[in-house]
Amino acid sequence: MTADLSRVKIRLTGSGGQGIALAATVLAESALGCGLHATLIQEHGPEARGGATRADLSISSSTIPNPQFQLPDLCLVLSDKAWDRFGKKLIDRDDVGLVVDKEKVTLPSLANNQIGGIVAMSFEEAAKSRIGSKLVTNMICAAALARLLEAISMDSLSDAAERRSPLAYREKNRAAIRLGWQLMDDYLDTHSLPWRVPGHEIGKLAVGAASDCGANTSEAGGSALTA
Amino acid sequence: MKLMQGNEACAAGAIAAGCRFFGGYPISPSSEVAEEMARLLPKNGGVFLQAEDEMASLGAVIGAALGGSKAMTATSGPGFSLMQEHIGYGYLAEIPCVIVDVMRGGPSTGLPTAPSQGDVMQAQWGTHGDRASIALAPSSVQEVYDLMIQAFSLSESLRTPVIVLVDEVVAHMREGVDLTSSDSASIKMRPLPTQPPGVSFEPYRSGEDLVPHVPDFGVGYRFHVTGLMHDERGFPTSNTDIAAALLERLEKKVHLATDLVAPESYLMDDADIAIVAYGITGRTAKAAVDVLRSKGTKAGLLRPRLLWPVQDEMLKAALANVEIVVVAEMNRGQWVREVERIVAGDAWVYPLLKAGGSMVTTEEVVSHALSASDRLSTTDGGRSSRQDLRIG
Repeated sequence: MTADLSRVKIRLTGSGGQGIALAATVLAESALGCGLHATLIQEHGPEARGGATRADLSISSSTIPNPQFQLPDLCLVLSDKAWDRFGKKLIDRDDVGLVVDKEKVTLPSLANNQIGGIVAMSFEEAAKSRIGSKLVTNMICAAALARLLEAISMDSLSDAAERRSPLAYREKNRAAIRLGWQLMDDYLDTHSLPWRVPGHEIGKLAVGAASDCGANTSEAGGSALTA
Repeated sequence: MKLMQGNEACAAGAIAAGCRFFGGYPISPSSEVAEEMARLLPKNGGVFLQAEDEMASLGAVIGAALGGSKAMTATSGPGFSLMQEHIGYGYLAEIPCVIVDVMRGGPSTGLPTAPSQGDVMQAQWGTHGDRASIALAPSSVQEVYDLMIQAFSLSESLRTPVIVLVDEVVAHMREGVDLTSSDSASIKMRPLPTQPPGVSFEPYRSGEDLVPHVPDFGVGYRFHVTGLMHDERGFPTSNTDIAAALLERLEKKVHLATDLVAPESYLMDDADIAIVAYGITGRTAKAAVDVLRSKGTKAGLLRPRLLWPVQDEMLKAALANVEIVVVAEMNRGQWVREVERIVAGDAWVYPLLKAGGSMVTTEEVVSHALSASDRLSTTDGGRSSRQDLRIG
């Protein structure tokens, strides 16, 4: 199972229309741009058209035999419906990192930004107030996750987003990626992560990727996720 | 490496193989193939046709193929059912075309859009009459691309419909693809007549290669094509000797594909337990082999890329030294029957069958392989019934 040691499993969840699939696609494409392997599988049922939806992304420094996984290392949750289906059951696990939009997932206990192993942030609020469109929330989230992973550079992410964006949104998405990266940077400056993800040396993945990936991999140096 | 969805890679592979006609009717989980072909074909001098239904779609594909185009369609189970009549016609009239079936849960409208491998037997036996089928089963986005090129190559060179059976997971998965992986120079073309138009000729006469040199319509030759049993001139006959010889040649011709698509073999050299699986289930099984090896169990993977015609000799040789064969598939037991036939009692075959719309998991393959191994050691070969190991 040595091939799996550096594999990171990320589940992105939300409601149909929030751009979960595009965020995951952009992350996968930027991982390829950094010389890594990626697989992305999604749910394609009626859920993707309004109900809770999910995208399962794996990123690894070696080939990925099986794209499916039961338990993610990181799970992004962007809606109540997604919380009920995917997030809630992970709350007691300290080997899964939960990242939640605290305005979209209405749990009173999330008020302090970090309760019960959850990183709670304001993605959609930031999109509206600082970029002027909630439609770029997905790119803010992609950048925040990429900053957390330290395996994908901001440049690679921006390039992938540009390829996948309609012309009218290229500039906004670029700004959203800078913003998402900065939000997670600021979070990591002031908090220690409330989870431990054993068995995945994400920092090493970053080192392996950095040479292919340009300068922006990490300014912080150390790995935010090293267990 | 380019990030592509399986269905996108399917279209890209078709274009790379020289496909210039697509006739289809959208149905999930195959719709992105049509969407992508509608984008790519006009740019590449081809024609995209959305027909009124699947029967008309394959009819148009057959017409385009007779007119000289490399032609294809893509559909899912319900549409694949509707196409069966024309698939039989394409087989008997020896018309090259590629039919992509992205399998979803059936029967009937079934389960859109959950994964399944339920159309495996239909790919071989879906149409009436004795027909030998060619069906390929990719397990990654890269392999979708590569096998699409191979599908056109086989279809053109053997003049027969080729089916590509993709499961929903592979079709919708996104992965990196190397678009330079297949050498376009290796793509085989359909054999054409050597004599000029106007000279008397027999379009359905074949030599040792078993493939007739049928001309394309519209370049000056006059000939007849029919779904009735026909002689070498292409005209209907009720001569039973001619009909028997035609059926025999068609089957032998299709079996020429047997040696052209190698299965993936992983850690089989010293294996006691072989996991046989195809499509996305083949990847799950490969991960399971790693887990079993880490537990000290000598497991290996045998993953056919060609489901029809079955590679009897190749598989028999590969499975000659194992005690247990676990066959994992997302249906109620289809290809396992072929494995049982090939193994013919020389090893214990333990099916792991899962229908209903969810994937076989690594854990399920591992635990079935281990329990099969336990049974063998505790009951001295007490072979379980299939029912015991069926899930879902």
